[in-house]
Amino acid sequence: MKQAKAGSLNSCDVLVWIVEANEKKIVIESPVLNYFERDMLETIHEALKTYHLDKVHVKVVDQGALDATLKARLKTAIRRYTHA
Amino acid sequence: MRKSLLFIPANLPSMVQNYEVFDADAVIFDLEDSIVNQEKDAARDLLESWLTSDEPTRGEVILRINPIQSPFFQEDLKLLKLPKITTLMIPKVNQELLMKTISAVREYANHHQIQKTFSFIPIVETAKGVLDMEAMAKTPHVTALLLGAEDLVSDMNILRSKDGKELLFVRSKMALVAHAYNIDAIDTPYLNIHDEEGLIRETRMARDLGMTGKACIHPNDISAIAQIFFPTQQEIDEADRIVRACESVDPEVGVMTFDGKMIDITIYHRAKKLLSQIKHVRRDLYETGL
Repeated sequence: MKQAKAGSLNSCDVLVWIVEANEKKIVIESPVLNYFERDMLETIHEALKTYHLDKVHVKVVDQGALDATLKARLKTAIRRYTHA
Repeated sequence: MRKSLLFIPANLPSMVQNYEVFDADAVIFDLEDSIVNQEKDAARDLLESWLTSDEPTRGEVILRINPIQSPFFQEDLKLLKLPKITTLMIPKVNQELLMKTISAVREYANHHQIQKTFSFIPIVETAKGVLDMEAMAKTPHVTALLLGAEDLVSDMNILRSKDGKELLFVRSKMALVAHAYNIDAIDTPYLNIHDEEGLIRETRMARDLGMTGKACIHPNDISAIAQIFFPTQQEIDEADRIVRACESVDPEVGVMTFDGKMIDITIYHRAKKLLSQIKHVRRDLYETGL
């Protein structure tokens, strides 16, 4: 099964894990999910749309990452996934 | 003048996101030794995401790229487009590799219509690099040399000592060359982050040999380095008084006495240089009078 990861579980970072699937599914774990779930979902959907990925499961484990870091990790994970 | 320079591993969000908070004269985003091969892509993506703004920053932003002979060099060049990146630190170079690197950077910038003039800081960390120091220093757009002690001692198959005797010649030569060509001579980072006494001792030695700044790998080291390379208040006051005294007399007079000592044009110029460096480095503290 095709899959890729980027990021880490260090403070201020985020681990993004993408796995091949039949449909799009996004799971987010974050200490600030109650406040930023909508923003994070928007960033993730936008990244998947940019790279035309819709049949994947995306798991995001956030350790307090800011939006620029989430965008960077998504970009890396998606590139690694498409080249896997 | 770059007196304190902080290395930041480019794949560490906790430091990358805070780079403007650190009080160093320059931050060096590192794509080379602090990033393992399989994370080079992630480091580039992280920098690209964080360095999008072209607003001026408090300190200089420097990018340490991978050597031209590495498989990562070409991908690193993709970051040249970032507005804040105008200075590149080039590892493991001698004159031949430096010229190849500068040529490759210019070719890439021209091809991608990147309209910027880049400056370069070669890292002297091989025996051949030591021999080529002068040639590198006089290469156009080279604005500093950095001593890379760990790789150098490894290249020479020797060990580092507490008193740094094995680096005495290299530091002295670097300081001499840098002053001759009016560029910065930056000392190697002190790697024992829990030994402040050692940091202070090594920084003072570098300063006393004529080095103009020192790199570090931990933000806690910035303050000590800045203080050691910054003139004392007594030195500033004396320079100010010398300049005022010299400028108050007939410029045709070659020498004069000041506090019982002979002052000539060389001492006057040195005092002026010190004051001008202070104005440049800490404009906020020295806006008036000097």
